[in-house]
Order: sequence, then C-alpha cells, then structure tokens
Amino acid sequence: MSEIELRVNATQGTGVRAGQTVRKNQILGQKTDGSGQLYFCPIDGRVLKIDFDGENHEFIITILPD
Amino acid sequence: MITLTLETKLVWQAEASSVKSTMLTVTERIDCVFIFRLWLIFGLVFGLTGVNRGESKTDYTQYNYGDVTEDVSDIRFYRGPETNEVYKQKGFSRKAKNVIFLIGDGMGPVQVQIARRKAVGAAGKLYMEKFPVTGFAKTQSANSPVTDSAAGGTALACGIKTNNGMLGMDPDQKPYRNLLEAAQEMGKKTGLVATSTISHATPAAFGSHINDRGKEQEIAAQILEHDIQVLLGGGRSHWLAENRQDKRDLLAEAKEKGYRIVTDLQQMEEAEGPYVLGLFQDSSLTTFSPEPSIGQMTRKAIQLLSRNKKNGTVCPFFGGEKNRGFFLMVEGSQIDWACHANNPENSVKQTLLFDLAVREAAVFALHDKHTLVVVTADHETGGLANLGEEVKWGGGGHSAADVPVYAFGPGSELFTGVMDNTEVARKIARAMGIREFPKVRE
Repeated sequence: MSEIELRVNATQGTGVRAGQTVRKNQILGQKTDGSGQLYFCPIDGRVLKIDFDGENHEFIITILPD
Repeated sequence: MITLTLETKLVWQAEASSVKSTMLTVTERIDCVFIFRLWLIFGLVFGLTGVNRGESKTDYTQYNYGDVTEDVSDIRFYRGPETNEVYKQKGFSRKAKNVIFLIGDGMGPVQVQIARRKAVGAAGKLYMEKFPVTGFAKTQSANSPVTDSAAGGTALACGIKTNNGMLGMDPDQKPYRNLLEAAQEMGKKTGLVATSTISHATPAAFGSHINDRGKEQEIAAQILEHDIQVLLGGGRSHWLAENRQDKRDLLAEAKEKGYRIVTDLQQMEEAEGPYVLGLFQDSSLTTFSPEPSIGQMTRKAIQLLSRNKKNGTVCPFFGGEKNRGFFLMVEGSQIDWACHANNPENSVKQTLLFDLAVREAAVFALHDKHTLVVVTADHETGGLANLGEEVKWGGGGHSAADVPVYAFGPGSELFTGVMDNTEVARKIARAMGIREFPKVRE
C-alpha cells in the first residue's frame, strides 16, 4: 500500500514520532477543525516522517500502512 | 527640550529612508534646516544632548541591514548591543502617545536565552533585554491550559480570554474591541507587521473578529475593512479574486481605498504613505533576502505611521495635520514554526530577526520619548529546556509556560511582576489613556 498523509492541529503537538509504529485508533493529536477533539489513527502502520505546515499550523504525519 | 525632540525625530526619520528613497519633500527639508538651526542655538546655549549618561550612542543609530541567507545557522545579519546598559527613560512623557507592541510567537524565556547565548554570549544581552521593565505573562486560554495563537492573540489584543481558534470574540462569540480599534477611535494611525500571512492568527487578532482562525479569506477582507494605514507581511493569495470563494479582488479594492501596493523591498522603501499594503509572498514570508526583513518592515512602518503627510510637512507649525500618534503591532511569526519543528538553530535565527524589529522600536522610542514599546509572546512552543551544553524539547506543540514581558517608555512601569496575558492588553490600554477596556464591540 502507498503512504498516506494525515493532519493534526499543531497547538497540542502530536503523540507520535518518525519511525514509530502506530496502531489503528491510536491518538495522533487533535483534529484540525478547531474543535479540540482527538484525532485517531485510521490504520496500522509506521510513521515515515512528520512535517510542520506553518501556514495552516498543522502537523502532517506520513504513515506507511502495514 | 521641545526643539531637541523635534530635531531628533526628524533625523531619525531621515535616516530611516533607504538610499534610493527620497523621503523628505522640499517643504520638509526647509522645516528640517529651520529646526536644526534652532536646535543648534538651544544646544549651544543649554548644552542639550540626546544621549543619556551610561548609554551607547549606537543605541540611537540606524541599523545597517545586510543579507539574511537561507542557512538557518547563519546569523551574521545580527549585531547585538554594544553595552548591557538598560535603556534610559529620562525626559519621557507620562502618557503613551504611540505604542509599538511586538509579539514573538512561541517565544518563551528559553528561546530568548539560547538566542542570547549564540549571538552575544551568556554575559551579553539582546536588545529586548535592555528594556528597563520586565515581567512574566500567564498564557492559558478560556478552554485549555495550552493556548493557541488565536486565543493568545485575542488576549493580547482585546484583553479577554477566549477559546483556542477564536479571534477577537469571547467564547460566546461576542466580539470585543481590540487595542488597534481603540487607538483608531482616538484618531491614531495603525499598522500591522508579520512574517506569516497578514491574515494569520496573531495579526488577525488585531484586525478581525471571527470564530475560526482558519477562515483567512474572510479575515483578509475584515483587515481591509479596518482602515489600517500600514500592512506588511505575506499572504497575497488570500487577497486575489482567483483564489477567493467570493471572487472579490481585495487588492483592487485596496487600491481604490488609496493603498499603495508593494511587493518587494525596493518598492516598500520607496512607498509614501499614508496607506501602504505590502504583501511580499503568496503565502508566508521566507524570512531571508531579498525579502524585507521584519526589522526593515518595522522601520518602514514606524516611519510611515510617525509622519504627518498632509501638505507634505511633518511639522504642525508648517501646515501639517495634528499628530495624534500611532499603534503598531509587529509579530515575529516564525519563532513558533521553528520550535514546532524542534529546530533550535532556526529558533535562534527567528528570535534574532525579531530582536532587530525590537531594536527599531527602541531606537524610535529613545528619540521620540512619547512611545511605549512592549515585547512579549502569545505562548511558548516546544517546551524548550536549556540544559547548559544542550537543549531539549518537551514536544512539538505549544506549552503552558509563562512568557517574558519587556517594556520601555511611558507606562512601562505597569508591566512589572507576573500578570495574566489579558492584563498586558489592559495595561497598554491604560498607558494610552483608553477608557473602557476591555469593551464589547458596538
């Protein structure tokens, strides 16, 4: 499967790091809609990289699915 | 002393123009010569000097900007203060006619420490650290111990707490008047400078009232409607019809309103006021050359806002309009971004770039003697810890840490001790003589 990009609000940071294995329903951070609600990982996989998008004040988490 | 103040102000303004810019009109030159001669006579008779004892003359001089390179470890553009002496406030007025409010986004105390250590050594000081009054501000928002820039900016602009993501309104979406609007009601000129998009959260807190910081197209339209004389930053894409959902061409509308639109450093330096809109990138600024630096933007904004343009003269005795002062907010937006990326070198660089904007404000205030300069942050980013030989990050998000407050000029004594971030705005309002603050917007 090809890698996917997920976005979380940058204010509270993200609980994952590059290289880390993530599981479905693991908390990645907060949703980007400003609601403050948690954003859960939709898949199992490995975090390839995390980039910061200053313009939108969001983290972009790139995950390679298992 | 009055003569000295006028002279020094004129000299400062003259210095602030670029080589290619012809800032002074013929009328102004006549004023300058006339006032300079008066100053010479008074100076010789009374032995007046603009420099207080113990201060360096370089504190009063124009900064000679060099290129800022893309390399985040290259800080050769920065030259720190020659002395650690605090800025003196001798002869300053009691009321703040002008306010320059500088906000380092994400700039906690450790961000300042590591910038100091890299640039001037542990024993040195940054320009902001030469301010005579210091304090700390608490930063929590209405709905979280960890604020974002929207709620933080709202606290600093309106003096109220709100939820993260909201701008210029309380959690019930009741809009509150901000400092910039209150200054406009007093007849003051206003300006916003940022290295992000000019519609990003912090400048937006001073130019809009909206429930979602992400609505930058709407924020840009609100900023335009605010009749702000000087707008310098990034985010041109939000002003273009082709990118906007409502298809409004905000740049065309700005031109109709009388704004001079500038897109590079040279155009900015040559721009005459009173209305200047500088959008130097489609998105945020790069913060390296050939873009104007935040220091250069701040210098230009101060020059435009401090100048009376009517009849081409700066002096009311020669037909100029009465100068009621100005309010200017300057944001060093990308300290936050460097810290989100846990990049200490870029944090240092962005903090030093911001410190040169602080220097511009301080130099003006030293000459003007009627200007309050306040430097603070909306929050700390990264949970940065200084372990001596190394730094450690607590994470990639914002932290709940208190942030430093530095103040200089009329009313600066209000900013000592630990205060809530809403108090920072309220104290600025008090120093300016604004009645009823915070206040629901009518």
